[in-house]
Amino acid sequence: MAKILVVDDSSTVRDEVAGFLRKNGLDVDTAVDGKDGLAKLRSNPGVKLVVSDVNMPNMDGLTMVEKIRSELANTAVNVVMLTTESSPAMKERGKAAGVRGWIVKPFKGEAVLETFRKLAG
Amino acid sequence: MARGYEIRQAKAEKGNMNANKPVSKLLLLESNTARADAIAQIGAAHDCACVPVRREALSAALKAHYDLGGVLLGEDFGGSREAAAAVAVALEAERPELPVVLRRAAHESGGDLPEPLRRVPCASWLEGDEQSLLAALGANVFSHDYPDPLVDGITDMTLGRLRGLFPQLEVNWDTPGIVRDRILFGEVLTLIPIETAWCRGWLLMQTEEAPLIELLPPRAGRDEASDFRDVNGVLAELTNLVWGAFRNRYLGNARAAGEAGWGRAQVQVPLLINHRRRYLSFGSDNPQLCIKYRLTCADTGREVVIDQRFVFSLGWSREGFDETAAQAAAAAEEEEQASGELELF
Repeated sequence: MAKILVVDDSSTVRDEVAGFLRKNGLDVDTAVDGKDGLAKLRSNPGVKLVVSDVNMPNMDGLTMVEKIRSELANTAVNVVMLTTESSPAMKERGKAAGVRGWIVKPFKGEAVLETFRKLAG
Repeated sequence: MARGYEIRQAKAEKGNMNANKPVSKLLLLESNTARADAIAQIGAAHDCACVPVRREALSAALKAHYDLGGVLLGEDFGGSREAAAAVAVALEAERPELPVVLRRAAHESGGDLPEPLRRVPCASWLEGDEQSLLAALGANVFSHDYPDPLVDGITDMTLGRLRGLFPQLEVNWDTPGIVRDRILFGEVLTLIPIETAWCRGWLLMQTEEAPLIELLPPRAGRDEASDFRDVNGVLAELTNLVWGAFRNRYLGNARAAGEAGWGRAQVQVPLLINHRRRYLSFGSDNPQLCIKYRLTCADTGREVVIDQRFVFSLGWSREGFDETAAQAAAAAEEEEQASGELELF
């Protein structure tokens, strides 16, 4: 059962982030948008860390986090947003939904690897 | 023919280090070689790259040069005014969006021109009167919609994203150009709306599939080579990164948007893309800022070109940009320092 879920509508980003984390020994699954991410979490409640984009079709990343906390009643999973968005208003919405961290793209794996390991337990 | 990067190098040598100032490529239709050379020299000194073309090569040139800013037509091109008139009709039929600037002979202050030469050109200038040529170019070919700081910012943020996505490739760029064509360059293109407090329009990125597939590294965790799906993914992600960077740097202030009457305006104009005819329309004839990026593999010499366009066809406020630009310079440095770092709450 994967411990980390990477959610992004871009296959390039999913491959880059998941590939890097797997290369460093972590167990990773992926989802293509917020709706898919929610479904994967519903079927795998053992995920410890979600790394998600914000701007996605079908369901955006922040709405997904809000539903993880409400519909899935999952307040334990750590969520880090990986996005082009940097506005304070967006970050405040993320904080209010229980997002744990924020990364403005591009992804720099080495800079975040140890923190991701800790967040993934 | 002076290519964009040659103009950029020449300007750098002359001490004008702003290599991002857009140039415009113009077809030069003059039968007399000496006259054509003289006009081309004037053009080169004023950010125009003139491409001389013979009458019999005109149709092929119009197809080959999709990134034109206009046409300079001599009133006796082809040997007579009637011949030039026939060329004006052909230009109107094949490339109606291109501004045609007509050279009049200096000694002819009046005289009847054939009807096409009165109708088709948008301006004329008198031979020997350089100022009249520059005035015609300024009014009809160049746009002041893309100030230098904006062009600098766009190339800076796009180069950063390209180098991040393609660390194994050298990335360079051609001198930006102002174009008015509606011709598709590539086989794969992405389009995303741009909306800030001071502009509304589109970002277009387009490229050719095969050269990019050849230069993509194998995808992580996969044995098979890249395919067209990877091209789609990479170009879409590049577009997303540039779009995000542009908005973060140039969002501007809400008051400017309100004063411009945009606010949260929902008006959109449908895009028309006819791939069979290689035709794209943004729904207006606004000039587009065009910048080409060249990615090269130093080992093999293989190259792919990514063509980037900005067009503010839904709105533009020069005052709004000027207000935003000063803050943008500071934001740019912050953004580069902050990107990729994890901010824990």
